[in-house]
Amino acid sequence: MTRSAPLTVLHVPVACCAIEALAAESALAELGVNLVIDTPESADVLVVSGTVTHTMAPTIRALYDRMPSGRRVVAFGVCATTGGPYWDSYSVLQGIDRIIPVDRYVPGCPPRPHALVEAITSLATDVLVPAELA
Amino acid sequence: MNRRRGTLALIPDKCTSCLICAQECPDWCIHITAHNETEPAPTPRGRPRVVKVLDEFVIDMGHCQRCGICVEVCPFDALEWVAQPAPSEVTTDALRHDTERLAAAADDRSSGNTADDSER
Repeated sequence: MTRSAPLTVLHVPVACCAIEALAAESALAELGVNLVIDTPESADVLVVSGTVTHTMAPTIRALYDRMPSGRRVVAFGVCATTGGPYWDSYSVLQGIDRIIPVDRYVPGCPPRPHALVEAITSLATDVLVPAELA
Repeated sequence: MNRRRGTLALIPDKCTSCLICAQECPDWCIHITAHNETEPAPTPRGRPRVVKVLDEFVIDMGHCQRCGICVEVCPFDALEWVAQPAPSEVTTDALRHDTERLAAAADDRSSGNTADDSER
């Protein structure tokens, strides 16, 4: 990654995938990516890791709305992607793309920590760098 | 044990469209389309046989839990583990791995990308 300014990732740990996402913390730090769970106002990327229930959905939408424009979203794990094993559950949101636009879907139940590094790196090279560092 | 929670590969020639994997999948993420063909009698005293022919085999990686039940129940060893995880995608449709993609993963596997216990 050729980014000079540090990238801030707002991590929303809603279920078990969060363990794998947190395991990527040190690898992300080496690339200049900070994983935070507060201050959405200064975050560039939103990572939702885990099962999102209908109860939780408005909270995630509110966090997204508090982020600055140019924000990007990663759905980490199949629950955040499509609802995953809870695809016919009455209480689970069938993918966070029902409430916010998603830029990268990371498959896996859970995905490996390295999958998050790859997804954020691909976002940073494909999307963030041309827009913000050009 | 050949289990590493990477992604899945299909060897289409081995698949008989028996649907056991699709029935046993806890997520119902395997979608199989097949049609019947009648094979002529192999001998004059034999009779024609109806066989299933695979049209499309889709695994929705946006639902799959990588539990490996499909690999274990397949009577013909048509499904295999691949070490390299499925990559992230820009759309959920791209997470639906079709026959070509699953077969390509099987080719990749036979060229060395095998799932084993070394990095579990």
